[in-house]
Amino acid sequence: MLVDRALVEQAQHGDRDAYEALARASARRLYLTAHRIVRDVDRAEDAVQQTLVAMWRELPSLRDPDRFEAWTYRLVVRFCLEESRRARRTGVREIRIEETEPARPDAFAAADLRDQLDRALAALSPQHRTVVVLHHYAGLPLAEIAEILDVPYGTVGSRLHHATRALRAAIEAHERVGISEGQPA
Amino acid sequence: MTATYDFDQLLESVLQASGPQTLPASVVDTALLTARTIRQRRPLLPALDRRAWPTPRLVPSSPTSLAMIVLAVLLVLALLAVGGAVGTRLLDQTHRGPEGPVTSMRPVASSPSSDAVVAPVVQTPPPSLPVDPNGVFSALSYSTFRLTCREPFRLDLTTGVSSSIGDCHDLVAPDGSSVGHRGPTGLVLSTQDGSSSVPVDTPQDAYPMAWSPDSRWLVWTAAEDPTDRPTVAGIVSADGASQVRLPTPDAAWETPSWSPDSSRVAIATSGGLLVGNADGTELRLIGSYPAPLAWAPGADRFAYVFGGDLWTVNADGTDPTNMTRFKHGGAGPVAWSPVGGTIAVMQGRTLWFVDLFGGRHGLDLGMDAASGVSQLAWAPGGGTLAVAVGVDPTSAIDLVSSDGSKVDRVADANAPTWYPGGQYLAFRALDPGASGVGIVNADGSGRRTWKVAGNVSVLPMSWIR
Repeated sequence: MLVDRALVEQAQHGDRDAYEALARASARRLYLTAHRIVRDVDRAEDAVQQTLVAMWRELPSLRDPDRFEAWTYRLVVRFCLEESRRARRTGVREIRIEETEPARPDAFAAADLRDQLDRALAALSPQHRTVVVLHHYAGLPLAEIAEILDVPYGTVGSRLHHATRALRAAIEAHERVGISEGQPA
Repeated sequence: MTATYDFDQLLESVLQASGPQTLPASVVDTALLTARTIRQRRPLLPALDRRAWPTPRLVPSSPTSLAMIVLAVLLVLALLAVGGAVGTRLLDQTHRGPEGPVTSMRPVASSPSSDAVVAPVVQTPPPSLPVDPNGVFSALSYSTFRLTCREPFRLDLTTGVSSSIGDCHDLVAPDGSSVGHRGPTGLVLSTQDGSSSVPVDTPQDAYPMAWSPDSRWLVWTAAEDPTDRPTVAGIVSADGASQVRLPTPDAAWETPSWSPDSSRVAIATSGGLLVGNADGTELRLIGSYPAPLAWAPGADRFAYVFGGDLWTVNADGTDPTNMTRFKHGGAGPVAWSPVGGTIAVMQGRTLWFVDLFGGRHGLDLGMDAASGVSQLAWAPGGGTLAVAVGVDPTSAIDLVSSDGSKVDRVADANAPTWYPGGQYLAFRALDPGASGVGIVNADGSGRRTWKVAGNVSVLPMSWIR
């Protein structure tokens, strides 16, 4: 998303129309990222709402308007991690019930693999999942993620590595089960 | 079934497909309605941030507002005249407690590469810094972070002047003598005054990772593909004369753990924990251990958290011992006392002091600790433990005596950093409207705060000469 620097500067100086334009332009991107971190519709919506309000309140503190997009990632990650902490305390888990089309036999393995990976993503800690989402979904380089999370560069690399290893292990374990159960390759 | 998929591609595809693709308009509308009822938070001194704000107009825009300002000034002068004596006493009490100056808001000079600016509020004497065996540490190095840039600064505590001492991602040695930074072809080591620079044989994307506590060695890391995780690392001496490339390929590097005496280093890699001498010799993989580690003062053993319990193990990976056997697990940050006999570990809101025979006593640090403890830092003599509790913006540091009998609180603070002799504690100050860097005496009294421009990082600061 390319954000107009002038629009950001106007919003920083209290122009509510400019802010609302920015908020509407950013909301979907933030929501999709938030949902992939907190994995819950309600909590993702809460995180985005808090982000949009904080965006207005804190905009004057943004030093470089060109960094608006990365700055909003910082905000949304902050609220996502807060939401995740809250979720742990209350023990709320989202159960997704979806209607699916009957899968073709040759699609079983692929769908199963994706499902396994999705479950492994859910099992990651919020911190590890955040790094995975920012890197593999939002497409941010590690150096930028390090700044967004305010952790050392190596820590981001380490979290990404451990998360990737856990995800790979989940798939490989699944494959081993598949072989022993005689599933098709 | 063999792995015929591209893992990254599969992961990205799953992330793309998972979850909803649209956001209900009502979510945004509600947020915008809420925002309309809220004022923007303006920096206290916005005019000083020249990059974000235009130069303030000194001439009011209309005669009416000029008259109002003059009226307000006259009113303030009249009030001061009436309550002068009382006001003077109150001001004196505000800034000078029984033990001397309480709050110091010093001017911070702007350096060419920084926008460090602050308003002079009160001039107070500098702290009487003690002489450590290694000299007087009269300055603090700290980092500020902006998106895509973490920049090191030096705050001179005797003058209150803060100046930039490096560029983005530069890492200053704990004693301030050297700086590791990214050059055009790889890592470069420089003296702090810039009088000499030595290029290190690294990939172009190399980052300085962690200096040894004695500032003699630096661990660096690099990703051969800048968009990927770090895969290469090495150890280099501060003068660049000794360089060792670490042996494990595909290494993912947590911040290395140096032993307090700088003799040993432990680095997490994909193949396990790599432990060896500071100069990179005698490196051995000793198995998988979760970071971070807490070294024993003699560097013969280290502590870590595994399965919700505190464990210790010899530096060669032998004799792992569960020190706690908590019924419900939950062990958190851990720190080994510098005098050796005690290990501090958090479990929820409880701080445990565990002796090496497995005996322990606990202290309930309350709800702030329940919301998170980010760091434990022993004072050099081992008599006091600084515990950073809470989360921003309600962080605080609890100073706990090693027998658990006394707790002093430093409010609005985190990232505790002890003076080498233990007489002072530096911290990241989160004073409302004046965040920056602060110090207190070892017992938490005598708070002094220096407001600095930018967001001070939670990364460790250090006392430098």
